[in-house]
Amino acid sequence: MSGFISPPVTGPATGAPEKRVITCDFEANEKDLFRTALVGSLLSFATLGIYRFWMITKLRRHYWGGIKIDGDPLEYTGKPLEILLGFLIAVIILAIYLGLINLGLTFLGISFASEDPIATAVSLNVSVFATVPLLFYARYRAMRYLLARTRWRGIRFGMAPGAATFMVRALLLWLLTIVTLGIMYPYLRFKLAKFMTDRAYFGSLNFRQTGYWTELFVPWITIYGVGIASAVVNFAAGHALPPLMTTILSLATYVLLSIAFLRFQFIAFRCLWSGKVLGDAGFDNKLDIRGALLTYGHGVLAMIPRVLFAGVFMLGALVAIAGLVGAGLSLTDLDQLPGQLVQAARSLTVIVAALGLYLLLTAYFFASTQIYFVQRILALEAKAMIVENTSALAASQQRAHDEAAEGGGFADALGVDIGL
Amino acid sequence: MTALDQYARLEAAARYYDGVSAEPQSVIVSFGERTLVIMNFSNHVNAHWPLASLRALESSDRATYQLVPHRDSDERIVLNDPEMMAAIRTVCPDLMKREIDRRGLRRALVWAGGAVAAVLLMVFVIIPQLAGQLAYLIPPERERQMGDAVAKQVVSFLGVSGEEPFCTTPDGLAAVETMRQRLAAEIELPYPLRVDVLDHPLVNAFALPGGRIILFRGLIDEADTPEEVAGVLAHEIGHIVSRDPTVGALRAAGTAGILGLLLGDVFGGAIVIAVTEAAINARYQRDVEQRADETAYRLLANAGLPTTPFAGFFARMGEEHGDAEGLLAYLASHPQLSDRAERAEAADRIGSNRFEPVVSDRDWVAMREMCE
Repeated sequence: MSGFISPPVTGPATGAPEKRVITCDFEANEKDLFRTALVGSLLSFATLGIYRFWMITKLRRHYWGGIKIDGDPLEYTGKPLEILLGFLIAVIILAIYLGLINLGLTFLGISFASEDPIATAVSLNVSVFATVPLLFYARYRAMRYLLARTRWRGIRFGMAPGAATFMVRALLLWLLTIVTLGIMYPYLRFKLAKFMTDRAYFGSLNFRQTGYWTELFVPWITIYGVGIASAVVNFAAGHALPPLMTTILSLATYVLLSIAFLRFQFIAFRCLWSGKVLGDAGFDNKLDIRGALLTYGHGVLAMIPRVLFAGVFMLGALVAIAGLVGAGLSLTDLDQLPGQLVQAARSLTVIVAALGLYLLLTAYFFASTQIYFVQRILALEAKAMIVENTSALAASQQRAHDEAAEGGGFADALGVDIGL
Repeated sequence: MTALDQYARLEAAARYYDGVSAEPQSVIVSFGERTLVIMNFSNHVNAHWPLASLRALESSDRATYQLVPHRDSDERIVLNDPEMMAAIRTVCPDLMKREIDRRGLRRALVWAGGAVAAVLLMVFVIIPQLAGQLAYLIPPERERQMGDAVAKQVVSFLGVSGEEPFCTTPDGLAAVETMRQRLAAEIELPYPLRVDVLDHPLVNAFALPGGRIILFRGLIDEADTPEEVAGVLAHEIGHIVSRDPTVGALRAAGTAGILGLLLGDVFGGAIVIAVTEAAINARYQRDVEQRADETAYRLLANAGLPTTPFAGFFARMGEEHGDAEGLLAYLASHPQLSDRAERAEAADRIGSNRFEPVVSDRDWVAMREMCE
């Protein structure tokens, strides 16, 4: 440790300290991000996925380091080996747990199933429910790790233990949501956010979630409204219109529902953050919903030509390679194409080339989505973040290092890791 | 003039955090004798940070450094003066260096070995063993129901239309029954062994859970002699005796997704998993098929029948349709036809001796015509 430090020097005392209000900032290089994501994905493929822990860490450092609060950036102090270790331990536990559960449930399903083939099929798939509780448990642990490895001004964030309780709460709330056909989802969203927030800390200061779940209700119900209205229109018009128009109508319905759902997500983000307090400080978020939706839409529009180009590129390259190994593909006679594709698939060269191209394109798309959908939206959200009474944050005392063992690796093994 | 001399007079304002509280302090940063000097505004020196252990975190817009005196420190200095940042960069070559966590790496390797071992153990040893045991614990009635349900699905999948997808001429059924009795005389099963002939041109046969065997019309058409059909039937009976269909279903259900744990990540892992799972299932299936072949030899020998016709059947199939080659051989669910022919030939106990034909000539004709 340092040893040279003299007691902290405070500034000149003022009368009543003004309650400072600051807006956060986000500034990060897009080229750096693209390169990290692209190279990282390719290396992850090459290492059968092992490298992804290093890539995830690099990406988190990039995003955290772009968020500036009162001029000081956030710090991500996670280590790739921590997540890797957690992942490996999770694999061992899950291999045994899943294997035995799947086997046992299938055995029970066969032994006690009725003659009805549908019931048999259902009981054979019931093992899927064995993993659902674990998803929530893993999610909480992943969040705890992220917070425990975040610092601001040298002070650690943290989260109290509570994964098991979280798991039970989440299961019950989801049961409620399903029983009410999804209408109570905003309640679930708020309650789970409150559970996590109330257990989160910045140093010695505790976060609290205030507000009411009903604020999320109207945006959520709007989705149902859009859905019902579209269904009515589709049904009424479906008979009268030619098939092309009905397809366009279905597409439009899908787009409208997606927009309504996205809108809810943004409003939920804004609402929940506006209700958070930290000690004597408070948060407010002024995210422009229309702006966020437009940014997202712009991202989709940017991806469409890329997808088309990639498809054409892939097909062209495959034809060229197939031609090189003598398994020609004639694009003129499309009936022959499937048979010829199977024929071409017998050549190892073609298989490897196809796989390579697919991986290359996947890496490219991953990197692109990081730019258009992750960073740009994060930038909007961060720049809309307001911290009230910032000086109150100075009261936070340092928090002890939380081992937070398994570092979100459990969530990674189950595919529900967050913070990427 | 060293780099340090050049920067001797450089100063910059910065914010200091002592790592105990989040209280910001305004400081001035400058260079000392191989150290970074941190002073408050009354020119009182707060600290010297040795340059050798100095590390920095760059913000993502590259405009800010967060300096730490050494890797594990909680103290921070936040600096945005570009000149000072450039100076520190020049003077500290190790500024951005990250330590390799050797202990963590060792631990990770150990656990990696454990993870791979756990997955392999579960997939290749524990689940198959347990599946083998559990298959015999399923109530026989349930197993039969499962087999019937699967049969229904297969029939509809194959698109066998008509009211009666099975061939039911009484003489043909009687002939099949004779063959069944000859081969399965000493077999003990908790449910009856049922053999049906499906009216479909595929050259195939399979066993279903619960003692049900389905022969395809195509198989009977393709066979030269009834002893060839008997060989195939014996092979399927072998599957029934070992509960292979049920064990296979349990094993597949048990190992589903385990492999995905190891390789499952968003990036193309799905393909690798699918191929690996297919290869593993195929390899397992090949072992099972081989064991069924060996049971078939035993049943044929016990019934006083030769295995040469069985071998001949494989040889002919091999010539007509060929074996899977190259990469696809790994995905083949049955052993190579040429190998099966060789092994069947070697298992023959009758040789050139006489044997009682498995069915009479009349029965054989009835079998050939039972699907009309």
